[in-house]
Amino acid sequence: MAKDIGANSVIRHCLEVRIRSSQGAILLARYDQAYELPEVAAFIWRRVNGTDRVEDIAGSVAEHYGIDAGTALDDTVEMLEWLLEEKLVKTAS
Amino acid sequence: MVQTITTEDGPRLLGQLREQGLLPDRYRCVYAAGSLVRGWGNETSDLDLYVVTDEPFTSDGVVDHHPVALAPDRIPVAVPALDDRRGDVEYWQTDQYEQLMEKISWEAYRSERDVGATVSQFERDCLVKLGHAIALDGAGWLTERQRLLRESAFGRTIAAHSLDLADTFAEDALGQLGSGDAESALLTAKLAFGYAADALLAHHGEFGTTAKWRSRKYRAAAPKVLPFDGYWAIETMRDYDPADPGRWIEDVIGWVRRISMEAEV
Repeated sequence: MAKDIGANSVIRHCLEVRIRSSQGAILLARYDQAYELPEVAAFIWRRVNGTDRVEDIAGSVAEHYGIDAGTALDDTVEMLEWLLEEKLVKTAS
Repeated sequence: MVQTITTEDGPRLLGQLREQGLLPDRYRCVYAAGSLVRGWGNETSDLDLYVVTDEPFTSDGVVDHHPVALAPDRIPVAVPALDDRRGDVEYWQTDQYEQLMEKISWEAYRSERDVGATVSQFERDCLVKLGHAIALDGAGWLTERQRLLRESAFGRTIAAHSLDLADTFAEDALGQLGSGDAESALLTAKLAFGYAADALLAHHGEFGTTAKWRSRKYRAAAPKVLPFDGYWAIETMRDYDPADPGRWIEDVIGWVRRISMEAEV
């Protein structure tokens, strides 16, 4: 499947997703499907704001976890692709 | 300018209660709470006093009873004139406070997250006001209850309950918007946002479940996720465009979701 998300994409949360923060974890629910995001996914989720580009988010990931920019971008795109598949985020129009 | 009530007003106010037969011979604490204590009072504000006793209090001056889900299940209420304003005096027993603290304990919260539903409106009002109360007499008792309140799950309970309501209304608003009923969606989105704001305030230690003092509490809490100007822009619908109501509604729901991420439950 072709990638829907690139470095210049802008991502926003889907409005129908319920969000909770509990003991540092991000919990999501979309209709009857529930998710607990792992740490890096939660970090990325918190930075999705409908304004910043994926590249900007990846920059935060690189800085926070001390990894190189290319790896951070790949990891960020991969995580956002998964969130997109689960209909938890969408690309901003 | 309306004068803020302080501990220095204690002797005078206790004297007025005693003169009207509204002060028990023995009590643990008498404290003042509400807008007049926080410096938010106005000419029509009631003076809220709480008298705490070990034994039930009875008086001809008691004009009402508030129902509570505690034992005993009623709170006697008197409404005397105090200085030049209406007093609202509630007579609580120490054992009722103990039961209330048990309801908002972490143990209760963890075993049944919806414990907030068992805290009745009058109990919630009492807890909301307790946090910023000042002792007119019996400061030691009040200080200890305020410590217990700070360390309790009350804020978490308010936040969780408010977020649940915010989610429900947010989904309703999206449904209404999707069906083309933008007017209903707008009002429902405002409801959702109000509950989200209450959750955020509870997260910051400012408890409340109505809009009455929300702006004051918001200024006091000063949450970083949505500074006051942004909050007020939504409350006052500053950016609402009648030609494109969906955009404003979706922005507001977006803020409901973002706040949900900030308020720990």
